[in-house]
Amino acid sequence: MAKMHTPAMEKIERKNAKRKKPVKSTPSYEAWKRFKRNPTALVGLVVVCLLILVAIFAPLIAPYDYQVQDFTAMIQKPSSAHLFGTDHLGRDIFSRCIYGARYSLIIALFCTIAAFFSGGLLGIIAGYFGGKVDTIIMRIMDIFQAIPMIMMAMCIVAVLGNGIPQLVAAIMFASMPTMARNNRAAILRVRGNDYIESSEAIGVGQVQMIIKHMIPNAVGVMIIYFVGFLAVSIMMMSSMSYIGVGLAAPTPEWGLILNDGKAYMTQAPYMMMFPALMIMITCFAFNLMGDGLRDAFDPRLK
Amino acid sequence: MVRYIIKRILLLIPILLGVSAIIFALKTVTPGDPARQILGNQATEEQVAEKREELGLNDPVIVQYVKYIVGVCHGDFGESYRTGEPVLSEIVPRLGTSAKITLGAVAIGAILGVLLGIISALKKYTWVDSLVLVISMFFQSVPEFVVALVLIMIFAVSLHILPASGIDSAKGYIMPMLTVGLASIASYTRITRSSMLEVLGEDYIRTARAKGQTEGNITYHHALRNTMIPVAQSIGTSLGNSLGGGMVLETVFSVPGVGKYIVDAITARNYPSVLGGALMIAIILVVINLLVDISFVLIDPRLKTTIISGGSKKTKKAKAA
Repeated sequence: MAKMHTPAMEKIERKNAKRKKPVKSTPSYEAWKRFKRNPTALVGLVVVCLLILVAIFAPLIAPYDYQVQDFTAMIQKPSSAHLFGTDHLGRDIFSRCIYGARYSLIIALFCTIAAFFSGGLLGIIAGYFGGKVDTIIMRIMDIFQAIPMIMMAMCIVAVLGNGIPQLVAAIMFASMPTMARNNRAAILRVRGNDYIESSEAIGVGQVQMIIKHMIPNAVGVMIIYFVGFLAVSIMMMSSMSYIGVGLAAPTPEWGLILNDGKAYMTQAPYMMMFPALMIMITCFAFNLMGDGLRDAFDPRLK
Repeated sequence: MVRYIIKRILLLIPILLGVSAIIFALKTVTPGDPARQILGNQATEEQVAEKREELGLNDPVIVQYVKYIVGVCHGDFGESYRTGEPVLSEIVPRLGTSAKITLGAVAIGAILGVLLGIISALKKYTWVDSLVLVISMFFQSVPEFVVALVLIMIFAVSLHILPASGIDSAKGYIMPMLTVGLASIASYTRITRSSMLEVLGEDYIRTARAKGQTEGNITYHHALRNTMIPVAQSIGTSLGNSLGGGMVLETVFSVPGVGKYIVDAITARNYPSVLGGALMIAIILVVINLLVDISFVLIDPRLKTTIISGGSKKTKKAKAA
């Protein structure tokens, strides 16, 4: 039967031709499309980006040095000179909070990377090799998991002393079981695929197999854990610093700033209000973003 | 079932041995001499050496560890460096305080969380649903000590309704319980919501609707019961979480619980107390986990096959492959 050409059909054909633009469709693009539709996740992303900018440009934003003490301006209420007021040593709380973003984000990043390279690697090894290796690694992780994370971290800081590298080491050790478990599960999900079996059949080496074939396919889930753990390490870091087991005094970490303000709670509540607000906003934003990422990369987990 | 329980109890032994070994190792690598610490700077070298001998610090580490474990099996957790009292008798009364807060917190979290979960399941994909999820997530993502400080600033500093710290009166318990409870709302809300949505999609709910049951009756009599299975299971997890996270919270509110005891011991480098407290919490946590797993089967007999027999079959299969 000959094809009919009515004006209406031509119109439809033209429309279809327009639509046939090549659509980019990779898993990560699909994930981004889902992420974009999630308003709370977008809010989280924007706030996180702002915090990163604040951290990078802290010296430009902060009007004062974070550790300069001014004894002529102690415990002042928020004013135009000191946006968030000053603390008991006359330090500008606004500047300290701004630098706090820098310290908190960088330390959290180090903690997360360290956790991925220790616990995460163990999990990947356990998941990839399976069998006895898996059993041994995971049984050891079971033992570590019986100690609550924050207690483990505090005991390690008690041994090593206060300070940034010590804190990173403590959070790394404490998070090992969780990290191992998560990454093992991520690898196990990839491991069952047919293409892994065929790669094995053509003789792909073990290291190459993990790095080139398995991790790229598990990367979506790993990103979720990565962002999630950034939030966890900020939480742990500030909690530990607040009770005095974590970072040492002049560091402008939000938990420490809160600890400074503790004694002046009744006379100068703003000393605690602003750092508390910073912690709340940061943790909430990271969690919103992490949640959005989870829904975007893996809608089944919802 | 009995075999499964016995097997699980036997599995606790290596875990607890491992936990004590880790904490004991941390204690031995810590710089500083405990004997010197107990006696102070005025003590002479001979006195310190005598004390070291008395504490058994000159023995090899393995011998010290074995001695400690043998002691623990007899209920002897060592003596606090600070007070000289047996650690166990210091911990036990504090455990009661921590347990009260934990139970209160779990009750608050579970009741509020389940209510919010039901609301958001019934109003799914509306603004009410999103609002409930965002609020409950807020309390989950913000560190507990910050929530605690905000509550203190509102209820103690501005309104003067509740005491800022201590548990001299029953009022002192309110804020600690509320803080931990709020943090656990999110997990209950989520579990209740997803479980409720799943149950509402089941055939027997459709049947109930077809019979002409009212929507309220369906929700509360037919759906809620089955919704509660995963909720009941998560209570165990949150019991463990709040007990383990008690260290920060109890310090913020200066509540004399086990958590604060351990934090004080850490800052004072009082290792028998750290070791005893941590071991005690680890024991409680693994026992809670065991009870939770057993209660899984009791609440939902369908799980019997997957947990007890199915689980082991799967591992056998994996080993064979």
